[in-house]
Amino acid sequence: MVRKVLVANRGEIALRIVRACQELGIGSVAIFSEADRDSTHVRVADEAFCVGPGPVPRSYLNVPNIISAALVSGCDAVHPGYGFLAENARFAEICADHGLKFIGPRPEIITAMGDKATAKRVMAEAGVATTPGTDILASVELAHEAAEQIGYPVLLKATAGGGGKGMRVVERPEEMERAFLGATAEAEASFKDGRVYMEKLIRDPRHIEVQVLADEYGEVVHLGERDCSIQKPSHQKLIEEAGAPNLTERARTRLHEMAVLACRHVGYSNAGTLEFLSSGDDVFFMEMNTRIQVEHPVTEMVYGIDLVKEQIRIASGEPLGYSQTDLEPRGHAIECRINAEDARHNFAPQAGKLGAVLFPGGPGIRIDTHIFSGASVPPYYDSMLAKVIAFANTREQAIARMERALRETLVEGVATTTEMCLEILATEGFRSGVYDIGFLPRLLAQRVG
Amino acid sequence: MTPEYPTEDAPSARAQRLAEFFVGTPLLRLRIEREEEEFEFVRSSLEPIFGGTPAPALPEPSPERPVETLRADVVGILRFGRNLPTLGEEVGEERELAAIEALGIRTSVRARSAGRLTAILCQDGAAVDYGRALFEIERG
Repeated sequence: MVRKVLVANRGEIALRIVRACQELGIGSVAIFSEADRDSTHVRVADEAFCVGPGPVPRSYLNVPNIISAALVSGCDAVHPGYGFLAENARFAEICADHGLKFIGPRPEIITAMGDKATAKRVMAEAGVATTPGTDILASVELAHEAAEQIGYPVLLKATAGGGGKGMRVVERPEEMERAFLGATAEAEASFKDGRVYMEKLIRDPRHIEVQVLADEYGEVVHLGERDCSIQKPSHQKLIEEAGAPNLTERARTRLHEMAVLACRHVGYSNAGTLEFLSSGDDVFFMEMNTRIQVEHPVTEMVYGIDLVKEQIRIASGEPLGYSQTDLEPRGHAIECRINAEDARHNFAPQAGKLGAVLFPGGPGIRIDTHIFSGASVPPYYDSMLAKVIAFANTREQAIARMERALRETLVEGVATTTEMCLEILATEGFRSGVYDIGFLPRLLAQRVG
Repeated sequence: MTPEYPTEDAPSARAQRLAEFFVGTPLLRLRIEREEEEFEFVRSSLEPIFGGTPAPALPEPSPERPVETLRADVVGILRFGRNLPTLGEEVGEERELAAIEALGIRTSVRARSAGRLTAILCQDGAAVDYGRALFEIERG
């Protein structure tokens, strides 16, 4: 087992990883920016190192300071969390060059699967269904040509991306130049990699993803699917659930089989997620995230497996110790993201000092958060403040439990998405489990109308 | 044991008074953060600093002379050079006071302006992070 882990992240996921380390009996070292000096992960970790000022490029993407912090504190492993450097193959290589175990797949796998355009090509080679699309597009002119071939509407996507960053829908040729430049600039700012690719826009599909775990000896298992179709107009997820309601058994089986097939094909190890677009019985591979996901807790709740601990165990060279037949989901879990955003003004991010903060408890409720009463919400980072996770025997019970929990939730000082989540849960569309990724944009449009 | 925190005088005078208080305590490290200010005093042992010779008496503070705090701008190990000035010594602009070793690269810590060294806030060999206060120089 690794002895001491540097947690190269902030916020709730940094705290989540520190907690896993502590329960495994291994050391943890936090990093933080000057803006996060009072953050919970800094207080809870065994040690903490400031790596730069508030802006992300100078702190949470400051690779020399992060690696140096790991070395001077005696770490032998680095957990990247999600976002920031989590899918940066060069960072994984640098970790290895300095004798640090990167808790994730090997760098060449990150390059092959984390680079989303390459990943689609590799998946097609493996026999996995993919959406029509292109490789990386080097210019606006090539983007125009590709869109004419594929047929509008198309989607421009950051090859290093995630979370809706660097993504643009292009309906008509005249929108292409602005969308291309906007996507590349946003991708460069967010991931230090401005390359984008294109795929056919499939209207109103469901976003279904499959969680996988693979050890370094070839054992691969899936931990079922998550439905992440409740997305803001910016394509960022807001509510996720495990399993996916009203999925045909044929589609579910294909999703699970393709996820395992894909991992075996590329020799994947550690935790990963394969994202698919689903429409009826059709499923198309979209991209693979070679890291832990924000929404991983819903899978943990229904499978009773701690995914972050599994990541550390796998990185330590331990075999999984179980196979697919040992895994059986139980019950239903829903996650609502409490973001510091004003849902009535296009989810504008909020920053400032929080007032009173009180989260719910009681049976079947899990809260993953780093905030507390009086905490600061810096303007530099992702606006997610907390994840409220409700678990119950049935989906109906989980919805009722989530509604109760959200009504108990108190976050003063900034606008949050709590009320928006309650509004979504109350709709007939969500309650029936018949919804797609256009659900929330349509709901918002109706409200404005 | 709690210092009476001087609020009205200049930062250099506050640093001086807190340093004097720190010397009289049995503490190895004292850190005070308040509003815009941050003071940190560290010593390696309770013996007088620098090879058993008594620490030099600091000159009277000059409230009108601004104090410049030199901070680490990389994460690494702090190394004092052979010619580390003693407390109270005048140092010239660009004088190297120490270096921070990180990933095999040595980054000098230099005085940004001439003045008098009034505080050494970290130990030789210490792991330092970004923004850690290392030295104070009273400009003059």
